Amino acid sequence: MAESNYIKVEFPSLPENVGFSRALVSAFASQLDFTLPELDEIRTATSEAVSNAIIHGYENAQGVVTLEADIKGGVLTVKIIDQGKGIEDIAAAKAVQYTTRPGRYGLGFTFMEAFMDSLHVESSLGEGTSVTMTKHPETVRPETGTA
Amino acid sequence: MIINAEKIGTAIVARIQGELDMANADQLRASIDEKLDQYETIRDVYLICDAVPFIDSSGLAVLLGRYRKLEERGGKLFIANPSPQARRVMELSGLSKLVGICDNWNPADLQQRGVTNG
Ligand SMILES: Nc1ncnc2c1ncn2[C@@H]1O[C@H](COP(=O)(O)OP(=O)(O)OP(=O)(O)O)[C@@H](O)[C@H]1O
Ligand SMILES: [Mg+2]
Repeated sequence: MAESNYIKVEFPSLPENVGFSRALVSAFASQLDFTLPELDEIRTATSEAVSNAIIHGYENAQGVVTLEADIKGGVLTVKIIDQGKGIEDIAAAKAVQYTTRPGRYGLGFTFMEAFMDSLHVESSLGEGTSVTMTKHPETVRPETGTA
Repeated sequence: MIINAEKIGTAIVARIQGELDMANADQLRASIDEKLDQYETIRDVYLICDAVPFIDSSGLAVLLGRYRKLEERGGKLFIANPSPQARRVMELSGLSKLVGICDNWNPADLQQRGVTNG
């Protein structure tokens, strides 16, 4: 397997692209030895981050979402970027069942945190948000040795 | 998303097909609510989810909303045959404690539950 690999995709903030983005990341992630439940976790986290960019970042108006993913040293990194409205209080936004939209659950960040190894959010008001997540396969098969 | 919803007695049985996210959450909400508005006698809703490999928070919000509507009527929401992913997110969200989850569902189960045509 290659030492490192990456993808970078841009798409308009259309609801239809949420399914596309999680399928894309899952297919890319399959280059590592993730189990099916782990791929489900990656799909879910990606779906949440992209949905947030569309719903909250661009408030369902037109915008461009950038999706980057890379594999380095056996670790998958997924980054979702929008140039939308930004998050005022990131710590508050991450809290369980916190939402600024009535009718939503407030679970997106909770899933991202629970399903990935790490979650990092950068945001500034009026400029946009980037969400970076990493994950490595739990059942790591050492490249050398017999374990 | 393909949704086949039918009224059977005091229940709606909806067979859904496709991944449930923000692209089709409104469609599912509308197709259930339309029947709930149409028939005040409906108490329970059964969502048959064999063919729903994926649900995210947008989909869970629709399920929670329908659960609450049915609760007001003294009824309940049932999720039949959720995928492993759907089960996992329902558990994490706490939704699995509110809705009824039916594994190994088959249509004959409806009669056993006292849901009959008429
Ligand atoms: N990309 C973003 N741009 C602007 N605000 C965001 C963004 N992502 C999240 N937020 C803010 O953080 C809050 C929490 O996000 P989270 O995904 O946890 O819940 P939610 O999207 O409101 O509900 P759910 O994910 O359950 O549908 C949002 O309500 C929103 O205010
Ligand atoms: Mg969200």
